[in-house]
Amino acid sequence: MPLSNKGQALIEACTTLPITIIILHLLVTLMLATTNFYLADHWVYQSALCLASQESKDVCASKLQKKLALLPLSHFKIEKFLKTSSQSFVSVDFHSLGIISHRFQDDLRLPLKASDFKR
Amino acid sequence: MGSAWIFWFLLEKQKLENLCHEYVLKSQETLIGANNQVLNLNPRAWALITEKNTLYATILTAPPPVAAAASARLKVVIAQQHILQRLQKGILFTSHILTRKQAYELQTKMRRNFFKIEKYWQSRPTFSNIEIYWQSSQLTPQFKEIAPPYKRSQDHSYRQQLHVKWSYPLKNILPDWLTHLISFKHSWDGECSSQPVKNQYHWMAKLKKIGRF
Repeated sequence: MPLSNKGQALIEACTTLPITIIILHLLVTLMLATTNFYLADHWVYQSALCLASQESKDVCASKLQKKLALLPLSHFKIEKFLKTSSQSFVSVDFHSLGIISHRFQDDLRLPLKASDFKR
Repeated sequence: MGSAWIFWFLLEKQKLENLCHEYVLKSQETLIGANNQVLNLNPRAWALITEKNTLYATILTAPPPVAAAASARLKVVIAQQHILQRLQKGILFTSHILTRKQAYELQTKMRRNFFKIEKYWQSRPTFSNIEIYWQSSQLTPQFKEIAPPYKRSQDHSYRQQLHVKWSYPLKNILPDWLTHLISFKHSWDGECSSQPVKNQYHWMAKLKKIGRF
């Protein structure tokens, strides 16, 4: 009796689908985590600059909080947010999607000079 | 893909903001330096004015030989005032030229940046709107004189602000497939500014606005 190929595709699809879903899920997670990481890094630096400029500490802190809260599936804790006459310092613990766990720290020496921004 | 775009965009944004911060601070530092130089000449300006007034009084009241000597001295003092005036104006003019040059450099570098971005995305050249509000030194003479003493006005910090604003259509730097799906009317806006601020003892350049955050 000749063997029938009927259902072969379905069986193959059934076995590869979970793997495809897992790979896709991993890719999306990785992309999202990377994006979150870059954005958080950028915003922490911006908040340190905000502190160094003339805006008040509360304004800068609330802006940073609002921005970081926008990042999906991540949580953060502002560890330090201080400004003295010679320093603007921001430190944030950041966790995203269980993949990324990082402490962002930006320490700017004040007063800022033009040469600090030279590439 | 999206992640890479965000990373690229953040880098470009940071580059542009750094450029802006560097130049607004550099020019502000130049202006503050010139202001300090001119204000350091104030004691000399006052000394010459006082001597001139005394000589005028002497000429009017003293006997003719003394008046003649005073008159001769007056000519010397006036000549010294003209020299001082040239020095004061020279400092202010040099700072004006230097800051204008820096403003031009900033504008050129920003345009070049946008041009590179356009080249990268192979998009049509678009008008990137860059507005530069640059000020000269905002010192004002205390009164009318040949070489007057100068002063900073009450709102000196506000008046000597340097401000840059830019705007660029976002659709030019987004992937084609995305712009076909959604019509983007938003623009990439940014700004930064600096102003002189008095520390305990001296003036220094400080960033005022740091861009969009």
